[in-house]
Amino acid sequence: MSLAGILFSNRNDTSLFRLTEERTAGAIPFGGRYRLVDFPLTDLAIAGARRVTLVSNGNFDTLLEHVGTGEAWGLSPHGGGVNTVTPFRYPGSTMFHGRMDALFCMRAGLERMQEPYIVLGDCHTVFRIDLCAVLRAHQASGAAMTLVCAPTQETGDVRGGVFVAAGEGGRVCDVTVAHAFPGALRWTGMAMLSRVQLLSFLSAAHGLGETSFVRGVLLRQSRQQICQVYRLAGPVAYITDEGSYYAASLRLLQDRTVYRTWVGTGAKALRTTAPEEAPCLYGEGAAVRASLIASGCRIEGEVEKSILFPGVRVAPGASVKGCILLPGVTVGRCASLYAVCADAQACIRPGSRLAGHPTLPLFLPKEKVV
Amino acid sequence: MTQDDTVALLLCHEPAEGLGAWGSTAPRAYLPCLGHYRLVDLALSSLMHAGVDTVGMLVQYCPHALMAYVGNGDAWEMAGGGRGIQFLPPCQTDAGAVWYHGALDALRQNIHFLEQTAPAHVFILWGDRLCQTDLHAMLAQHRRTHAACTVAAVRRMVDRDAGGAVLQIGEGERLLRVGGGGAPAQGAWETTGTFLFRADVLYRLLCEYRACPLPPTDSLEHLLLPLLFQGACVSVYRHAGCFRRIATGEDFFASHMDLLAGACPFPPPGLPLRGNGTAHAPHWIGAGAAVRRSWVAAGCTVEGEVEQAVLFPGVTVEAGAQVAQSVLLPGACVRAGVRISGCLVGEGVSVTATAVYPRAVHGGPVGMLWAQAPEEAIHIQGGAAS
Repeated sequence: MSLAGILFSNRNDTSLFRLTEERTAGAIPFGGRYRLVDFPLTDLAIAGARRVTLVSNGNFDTLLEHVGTGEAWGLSPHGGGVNTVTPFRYPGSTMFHGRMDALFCMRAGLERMQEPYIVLGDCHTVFRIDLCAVLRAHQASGAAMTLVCAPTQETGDVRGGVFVAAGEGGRVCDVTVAHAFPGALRWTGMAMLSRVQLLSFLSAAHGLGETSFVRGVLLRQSRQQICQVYRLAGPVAYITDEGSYYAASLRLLQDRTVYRTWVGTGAKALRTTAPEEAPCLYGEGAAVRASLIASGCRIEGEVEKSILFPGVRVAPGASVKGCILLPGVTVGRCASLYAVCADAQACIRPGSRLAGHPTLPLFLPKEKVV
Repeated sequence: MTQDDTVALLLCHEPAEGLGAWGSTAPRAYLPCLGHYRLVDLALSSLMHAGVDTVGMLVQYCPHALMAYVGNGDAWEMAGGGRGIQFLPPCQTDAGAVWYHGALDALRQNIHFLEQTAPAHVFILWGDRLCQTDLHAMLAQHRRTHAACTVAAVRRMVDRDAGGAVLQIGEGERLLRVGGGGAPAQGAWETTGTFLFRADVLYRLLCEYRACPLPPTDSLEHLLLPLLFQGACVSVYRHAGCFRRIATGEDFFASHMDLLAGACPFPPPGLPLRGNGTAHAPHWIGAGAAVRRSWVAAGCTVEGEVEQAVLFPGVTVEAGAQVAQSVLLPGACVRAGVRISGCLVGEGVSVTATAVYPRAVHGGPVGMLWAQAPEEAIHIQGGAAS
């Protein structure tokens, strides 16, 4: 009961284009049966958190439907469960302009909370973390705030990325935005701090009129060296646009270690609410290789290096290679798909040929008929 | 649509006799089936689709796993708002402690369930049959015919002994007689074990039986005899879909091979099955794998060849292994290079040697690869003859 989570689900909604047309980033399907919000929710639940607040600016229907009361993660309503914070809660209030803006709107709730420590997190970064270990490290360091960061080999797109330089003993000595310098660690968007400290940061930022957590807290505090870095050893994926979503998904197929780390087993297995469907039926002409297949699918064609979500149909003679087919996608007879990411319920008519490129996959919107 | 005036008594008290080590720790209703579900899911899903959301579940034999699985019935939309699943185990009273001695005895020991819920109609059905009856249609026929009782019937198949009573049906789906002279013929209609009684009729019958010693045969069909004798209207609902009793491992194996071959569509269209199992990750098909004509559940890892097989959740087929015409229960593993055919592999069993039973799908002997305890590795003698 020492931890409570606050997850911001809207980050990068604009750069994710079609994936977030009808859902917020936290509700993006990932890995065959999960959604991005499952990763931080599971780790919070495993660490003993019983209260998680989801902050969303809009487009949150799918997210709320998916998370429900949080029962699937062990977040019982009696212990706080899942609360949702949306804009326009008070007369005169507007959309949230940043994390501090949203946190300021919920400060009354923050003051009432019993949990001494708060975990702030985003939904668009895929990684697994032992938050108990982070808490121990945070307490041992005596820092005002601990930032969960990962080593970066980023050479390309660093839009929106926050990079930190760790000094002696892991103290944060410099913070940059959208600029990866040599030896920099990339912030995963997750931070741990005491509730009292958060309220203190909040008052200070509000007094200065800052709505952004990065500007209002990180950049201001970096010189004072009161923040600590927690180095994440496992694999991390930053889903900032459609291309990075496709690349992160395919990492599940290319590296089984990444798959095992992210999905986990036993008590550390990734939790979700998606209902389990009937077993997948493989037909006479099925030829499936190196793929992740969810339950409820019916495969009678060829599938290679692809991820199929529940209820996907692949008709005889069809060929699906390097594709991500979201729930309910239908691929007609003799259709051919290469490097395609088809959103839920899309329908590819018999004989169609669609091809993207692994570096520029072709995205089909929800319920699109081709 | 919710049927406020109808409740159900679900019989889940029987042990899984005839199923070897597999059936010794759970009631038959808890057996895994259809690659992902448990037998009890079929009855509960049927009730859910019919809108019956007050269910008394009769349990007795090793009920813990079954009760934990069913929970409060939320998975079948039977929780809250006065709805729900009530477990009805045998209990200790002032008259002493009495176990359930058969289905009829179990029902009459729970007559208080009818007094407590005060329904107009009562379904009685088994939680351990591989059958999904359209109970909504059965209830509609029951209401239309104003029957005292409606009994579900299925056509007997010659290649198996279904064990139900043979029914003689007259005009307007009215039951004329139960049982008949001689051996039951192919195509005869026999009971599936699903009954729908008017509550007052059932209450009276059970009260009468409570006052009498047990009848010589403790089958539910016995309840129909006084009704027919009194000239009451007993209607027959003809069930057209799949129906199997799972009495032995061979029954289990044959049923799954039949369904996999498409002998009858299952589940019936419009009546999707609902389960309450543990969530698993999507299954992984490796780069060197080949899977055809099979069902593969979530959580499996397939690196070898699989043909005409049913893989339950968490099954592993290692690289170079060959699995044909087999059913692998949850957590089973076929080690690298091993070939199995015509086998039923128990939960958590690790198969480390080849086992081939070539005539299993044609009614021949089936390789029963049980283990006494999960995770215990067993060695099968190679190339067992048919």
